[in-house]
Amino acid sequence: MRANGLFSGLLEREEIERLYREHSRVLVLFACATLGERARAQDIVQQVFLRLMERPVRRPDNPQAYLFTAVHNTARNEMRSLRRMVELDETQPWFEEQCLDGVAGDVVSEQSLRRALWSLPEEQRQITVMHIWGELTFPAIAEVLGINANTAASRYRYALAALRQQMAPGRSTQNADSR
Amino acid sequence: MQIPDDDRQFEAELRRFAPRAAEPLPPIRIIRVRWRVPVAVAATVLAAIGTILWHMHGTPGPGTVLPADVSAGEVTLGRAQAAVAQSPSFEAAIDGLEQASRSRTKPKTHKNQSALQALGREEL
Repeated sequence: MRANGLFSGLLEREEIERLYREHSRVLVLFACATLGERARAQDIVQQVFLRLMERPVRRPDNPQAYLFTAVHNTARNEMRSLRRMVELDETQPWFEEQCLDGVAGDVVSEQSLRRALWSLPEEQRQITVMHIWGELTFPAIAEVLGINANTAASRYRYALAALRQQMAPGRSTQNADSR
Repeated sequence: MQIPDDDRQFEAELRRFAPRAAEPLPPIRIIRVRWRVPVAVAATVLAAIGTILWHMHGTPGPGTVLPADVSAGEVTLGRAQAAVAQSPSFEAAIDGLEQASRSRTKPKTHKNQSALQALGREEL
């Protein structure tokens, strides 16, 4: 697990629980974007936090980026142990069940967003989740993924363009029909 | 949802989808039990094996039957304890062990000499 920035003191149990309350939603989403399966993603995130509780670490300078790194590494290990291509689990939603009613009667469902995200390359999915829902900066994202910050920003732009195309009016219905 | 041309507006639209809440963390105590129990069992088994081995090869315990002549053979901790137990005093036990040890000391002999011949040549 890579360390992020400067450290000060050990992470207390209460602090770890608070971090879980604050960031577990987006960390599970991030793991979903890697593994495609919510149940497995949930396990990965819990593993990371329980490990932190059992073996206290020094307080990272950017705890959120540290947690993303930990989840990323654990998810990568899980993928290696699976020894197969990961697929999107259609049964478990990643987002709160809601439909955003848009202008001109066009509706984007949770499922169509999930499918649009999954259609992106893995790294673009991860960058999108970290930037949009995790609100991480590109330098922080770059540190998590071990890439250049400019590369992260560039891949994010590609991802956003692809998402926009996937979720364009009428596109979600076509996707649903085609499946 | 109308897909806005502006990236920031599109991001804001995407953020309206909230990630689902995660399951609460399981109690840490249960997780710790997973490794604590096997470790405790292993430690107990090791301690039991160690105790058995110690009793077999180490100091004789209170129930151990000692040979009748505790002074025979080398002076060991077990024999010393037995001698102390059988003698009226500690000094007497030590004297007894010393004498037994001396009695076992044989004079150096050459190949063709008997022990008596060798003793006859010893200077007193």
